Amino acid sequence: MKNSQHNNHVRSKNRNTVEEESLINQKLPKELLLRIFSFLDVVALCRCAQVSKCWNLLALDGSNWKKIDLFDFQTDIEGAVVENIARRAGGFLKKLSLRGCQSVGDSALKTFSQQCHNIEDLNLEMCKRITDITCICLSRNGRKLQKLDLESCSNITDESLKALGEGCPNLVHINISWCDIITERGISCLSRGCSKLQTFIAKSRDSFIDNECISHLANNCPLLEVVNVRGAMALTDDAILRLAQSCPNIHYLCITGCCNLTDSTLLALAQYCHKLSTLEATNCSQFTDNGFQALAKNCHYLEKMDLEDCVLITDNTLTYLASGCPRLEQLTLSHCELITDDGIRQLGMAPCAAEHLTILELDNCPLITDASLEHLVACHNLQRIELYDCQLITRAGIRRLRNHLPNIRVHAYFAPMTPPPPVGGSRQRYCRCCVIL
Amino acid sequence: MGDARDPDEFFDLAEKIIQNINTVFEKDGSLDEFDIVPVESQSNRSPVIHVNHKLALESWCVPFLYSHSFKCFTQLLPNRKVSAGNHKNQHRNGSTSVRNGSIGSHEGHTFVNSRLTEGDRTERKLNLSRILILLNPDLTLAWNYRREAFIQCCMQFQHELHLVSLVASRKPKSSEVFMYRKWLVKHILNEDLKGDNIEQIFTREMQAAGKAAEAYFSNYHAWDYRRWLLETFLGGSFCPDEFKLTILNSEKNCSDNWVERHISDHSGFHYRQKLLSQMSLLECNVNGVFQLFTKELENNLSLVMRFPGHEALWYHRRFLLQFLVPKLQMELTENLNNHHQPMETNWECEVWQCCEDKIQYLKKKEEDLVKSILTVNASLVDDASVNFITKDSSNLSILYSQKHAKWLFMMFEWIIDNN
Amino acid sequence: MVKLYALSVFRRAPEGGTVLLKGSYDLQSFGFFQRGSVQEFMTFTSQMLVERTQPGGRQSVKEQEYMCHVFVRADGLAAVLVSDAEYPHRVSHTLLTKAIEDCAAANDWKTANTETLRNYKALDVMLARYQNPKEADALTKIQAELDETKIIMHNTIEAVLERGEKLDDLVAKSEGLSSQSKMFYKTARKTNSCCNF
Repeated sequence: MKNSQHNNHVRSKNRNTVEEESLINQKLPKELLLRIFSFLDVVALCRCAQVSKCWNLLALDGSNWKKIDLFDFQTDIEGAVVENIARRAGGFLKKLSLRGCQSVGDSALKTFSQQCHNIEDLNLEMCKRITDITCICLSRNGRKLQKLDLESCSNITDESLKALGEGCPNLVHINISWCDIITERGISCLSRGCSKLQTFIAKSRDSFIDNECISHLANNCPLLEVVNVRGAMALTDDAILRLAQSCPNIHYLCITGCCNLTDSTLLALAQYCHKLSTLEATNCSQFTDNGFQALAKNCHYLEKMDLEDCVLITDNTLTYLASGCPRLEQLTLSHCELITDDGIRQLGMAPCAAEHLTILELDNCPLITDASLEHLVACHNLQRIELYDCQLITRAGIRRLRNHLPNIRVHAYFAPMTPPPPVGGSRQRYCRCCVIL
Repeated sequence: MGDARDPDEFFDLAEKIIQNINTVFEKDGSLDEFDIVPVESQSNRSPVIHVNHKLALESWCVPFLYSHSFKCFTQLLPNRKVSAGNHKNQHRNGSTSVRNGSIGSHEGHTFVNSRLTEGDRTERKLNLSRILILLNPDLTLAWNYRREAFIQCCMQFQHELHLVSLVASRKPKSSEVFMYRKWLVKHILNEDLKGDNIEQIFTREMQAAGKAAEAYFSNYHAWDYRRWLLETFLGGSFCPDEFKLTILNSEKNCSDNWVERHISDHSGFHYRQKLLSQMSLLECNVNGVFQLFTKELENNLSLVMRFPGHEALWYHRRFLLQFLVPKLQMELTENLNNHHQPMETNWECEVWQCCEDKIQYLKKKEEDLVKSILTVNASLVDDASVNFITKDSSNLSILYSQKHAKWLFMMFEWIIDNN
Repeated sequence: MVKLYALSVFRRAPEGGTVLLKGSYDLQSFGFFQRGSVQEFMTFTSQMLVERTQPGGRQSVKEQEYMCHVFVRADGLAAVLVSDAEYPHRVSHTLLTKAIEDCAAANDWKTANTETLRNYKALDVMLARYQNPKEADALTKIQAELDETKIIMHNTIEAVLERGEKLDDLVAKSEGLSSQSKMFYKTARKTNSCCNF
């Protein structure tokens, strides 16, 4: 008697708690619940979908599947998964990343493009099995496509670009790095069709990007802001001049490895691209102080400059940059062998130094000595300095710098004074041969 | 305060050194030596030295480079629990919600790993395992990973063999080195990856074993590997017969050369013994074997006289006798058994007589040898004018020849018993 | 291993100053990065032995798997041979005699130094030829019978040192040894070289 009463009491208490919990679902409106779920990633959503029927509907609601990143599952992703997701998310899916999913092929993406015609941002980097068929399908169904990343999809040809040019006029960001079969014909079609293009990324190892490609871009895409043509060794100054003339909004330019460019390029940029904020010019070994003088005079928004291997530049460039670029945050001067302490002194006194300068790379500059480090003590925001192979730098110099800037990371080859504990504890170790034989 | 550095900077410096090492391997495909030179860190100079196709690391960087590489490597292996506190369903690529952080952070071990594509992960694991085995060839974990990767990624076996040689250049005594070589060769032969390169593979492997044997005295692993190679190639159907003959001849030459310069190398002699056994299989009758082995006994005799006090030579001698005499004995008994049959040709008579003679001949030679050594050395030992090094070896010679005499006695007793 | 590593000729002045005239080395069996230090150590040890040997005297010192044989002639011309422990030591001393005789005959050794003897190749030739001790059979027949009793033997290098001298100190003070070699010596002494990381 007493037992069953007690049990009843317990049971009703349990029922109450269950009811209280389910009230969560009733207390909040559906829109709010969906908003909460919208913060969850794929794995969490799938787990939530298994909790209860109600949650299943909420979790699998298309609105939660607007942005999907399958990178963490990479090789496990096969075509079927993509097709399922496409059907589930349908018109809700706006952003999908299949980066690294090497097993995904054309047929899955065909289904995908048919189901998800609202797709805006698609990342297919490293999906090596993709061919032109995918891009043709995308162009037929993806009018809203704004961002497309095809890096390392080495089967892509000019046909893809032609299709995209025809079908995706809203394309704003395109990445065709390492797609080496593409030629200027494809670029031409693409640029003509996608005149709203703002970001163009085409890194390569043996430059399929030539002057023709650049002139097509210049002629057709005046809104370009980000251009990355790393490795385009065939480019000459004319191309960049054309580009600069037509696209004054360029704020990020990467011409790493374009070793045929000379100061004329810098002069062109100085003349036309005043909004330039990032310049990556590793290996542009023909650049000299003159070019940078012009650049510094006109491009006051420069924040990041990578001048590794621009071996001809001297302290004068640093003087120009110091006076002309008050927002300079990151400066790479690796292998610029003519730089001396004097240039760093100029930099240290510059308006950018105290608050803006964050990263300074001086590795392989053999003339740099501890004096340079002295000049940098006032750079309160300096987070990292690279000093590898600067043989005149001493431990003492680095110590003094750390005294002024305690949070700085100094990269040099000096051995750590207090090594980390060895792997596996500190017992005496013998190699197998000595123990056995 | 001073130079105290936080863990992030160890990470960065170790990564930079790893990068330098990778660059050396990319630039130079024909590295032939690796070493660690004892140098203290004094200047701001890279610890990676690359000169003349030879790679060296300064010793100051080795401890933390090794522990860093080991940590990174184990974190990249599948089904490893990442140390930065985790839920049960740890996905192998790391936490799914990690997005921010810079590459340089050491808690960002996880971060670095989670943003790598599959191809990048494999490359990084290969690079790390390469450093690990160079620094510590006993680390089976790294070798096993390379075995897996070799099969999965269809790597070039020449590159792997080349890397193994590089590891062996510093630690020729390591057993892992030869186990890996063996595994690779087995795999190549089984999977028929060899193409037309049988001879090349064989020669190169023999050279590798020879080099390691040269670098370290009585290198058991190297010689055992050599023996395995010999037996595999001689016994294998993939090897044409003419090549088998070439093998035997070239190995005999190598061994002759070796034995003269390494008179105390037990492993080298053991290999020679296997070689001689294989060669005796080729001889069609007992005469051939007798010729081969008596020549060997002659050579051995001259070595014994020239280099007193080396027991390996005596052991070898005993092997030769132990191999030869029972064979002669067998031939003898067979013919004795057949003797009741009418003798068809004179040839059989000759064989029977020769075998008996031969055994006696051998017995006499040995007894003479022992006698002469005992006499010569007994006088040396008693001579006050002789220095202690010579006396030492004289004493040893006496000891060894006495042992030999005892053994001879037992051996020939056995023969008489079984006659 | 039956092997010769180094053969060098010194001039020993009566006051004890020793000058290296010519050194010949076969160090192929050592790792590339070790050869420099190994050569320096062999020269260092050879010089030390010459300094501690009386004119007219012969010594043979065993150090781990190496043997160092030295002969200082009465007039101060000396030679040192570093070989493996298996190389027959009678042959070693024969070679020392020959090296000294040849050097004296071919050069004005009393005023010579490493510079003037730069082109003297006979030691290199000897070192290469007599790697195989069989080659020296002819030599032993020609030379006068070697009186073995006169050869002083030692089981370690330390036995050659004067009372109170320590090898570690000599190494540290030596000018002929680079800092890398000294470092090499320190680490090699500390641990069994096999387990040295």
